[in-house]
Amino acid sequence: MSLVGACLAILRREVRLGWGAGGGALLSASFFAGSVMVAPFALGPAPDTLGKIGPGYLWLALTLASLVSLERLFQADLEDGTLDQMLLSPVPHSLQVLSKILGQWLATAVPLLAVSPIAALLVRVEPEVILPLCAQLAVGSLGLFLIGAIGAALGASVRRGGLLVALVVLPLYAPSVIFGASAAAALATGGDFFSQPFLFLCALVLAALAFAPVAAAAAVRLHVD
Amino acid sequence: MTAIRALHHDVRLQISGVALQRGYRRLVADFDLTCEPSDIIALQGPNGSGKTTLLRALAGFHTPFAGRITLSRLQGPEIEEPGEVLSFLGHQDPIKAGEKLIDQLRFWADLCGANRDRVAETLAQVGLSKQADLQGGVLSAGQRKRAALARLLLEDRAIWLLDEPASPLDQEGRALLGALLDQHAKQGGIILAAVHDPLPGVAARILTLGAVESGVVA
Repeated sequence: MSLVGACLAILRREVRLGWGAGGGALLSASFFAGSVMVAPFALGPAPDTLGKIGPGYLWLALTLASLVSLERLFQADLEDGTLDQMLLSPVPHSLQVLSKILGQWLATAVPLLAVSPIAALLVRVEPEVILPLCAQLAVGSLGLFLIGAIGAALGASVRRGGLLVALVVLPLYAPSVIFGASAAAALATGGDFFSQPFLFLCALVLAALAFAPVAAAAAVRLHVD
Repeated sequence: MTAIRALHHDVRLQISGVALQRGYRRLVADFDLTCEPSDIIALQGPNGSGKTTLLRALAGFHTPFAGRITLSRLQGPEIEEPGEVLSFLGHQDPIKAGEKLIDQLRFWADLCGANRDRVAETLAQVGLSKQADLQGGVLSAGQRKRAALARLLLEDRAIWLLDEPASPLDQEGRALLGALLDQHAKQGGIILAAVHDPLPGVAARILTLGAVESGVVA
């Protein structure tokens, strides 16, 4: 039990709260679906134009959709004193933060990824590319959530801090989006799944997995004072 | 010493020369206090005199401007983190609106490594058995405080830091609080509570904050 059990408890709770009343787990998914749905209207339904920018557009939608859920990641816990109690737990704080981020990712990104194949069809991605592309989006979304958590932690005590969080996080998102969109473009032009940009993206996600929880934990600690 | 060894908790808390500051406002200066097992301290003082800040400093949330806070066991391993021996009950109640009360307490039990089976028992102890399956959002302020007390019982740590524990409780709730405080002190626990009214049911040493000149420091 103890360490793993406690981390799983945090993760389960994050999913439960996300899907419970007022949890807002579907917010990102609906934002993602909505922004893809208007793409053919805004950009014109011509298959050649839409097909060319489709994979990149999915990355754009994923990036913005992941921002939507960030604001509340730590704010609710800070306001009701949950973070105080978590600091007094014997479990290392960065592990708790990692579990929280993973829980949030499971609750929020999984529904988003579930609708992403349909979204890909809407923007005319070639059918045989859809599943590999969505797999890359899944890897990328984990990285975006991890990096975003740092911004969410920094902005946790700011009322309506969504703007601040977005300003902090968007520049940090740039590398993931660049590599992710290049990997998607490579897929769309018949390249390998494990193309060079995708391997870079994987490396970024792994680095974020190691550093983001520590950075976010330190930022959260500042707010508790 | 033999009497103390038989106790469930044996932690000592020493505060020496602690000064607390919020922004440029000095709240507490040169504060000394030693708490032995079974001590009950009531911190009193006007609003803004630093009661909450002192409790938060003891919990390790707030870094004192000066001075030292030492936690030690009379015997046994050294204490590395305040969380090993100390529970904090703030004026916010960490109760989520959209989750069943019993699930919330099970979560806290998992997080502090307590036995999940004790959750139902502690809920009964604080008189919330009937509310176990209710969502947190429908609980009253007093019921939320009782739930927080149940968390304290689950955590089973030596030092209780309580910020206005009695404020939303009804008569019966205050009697319950008194009984829990008494039981905790008898087991060797230390209680530090920020209060305006005397703590119910127990005799506490009263410390008044805000007597020292507090004001803006350059």
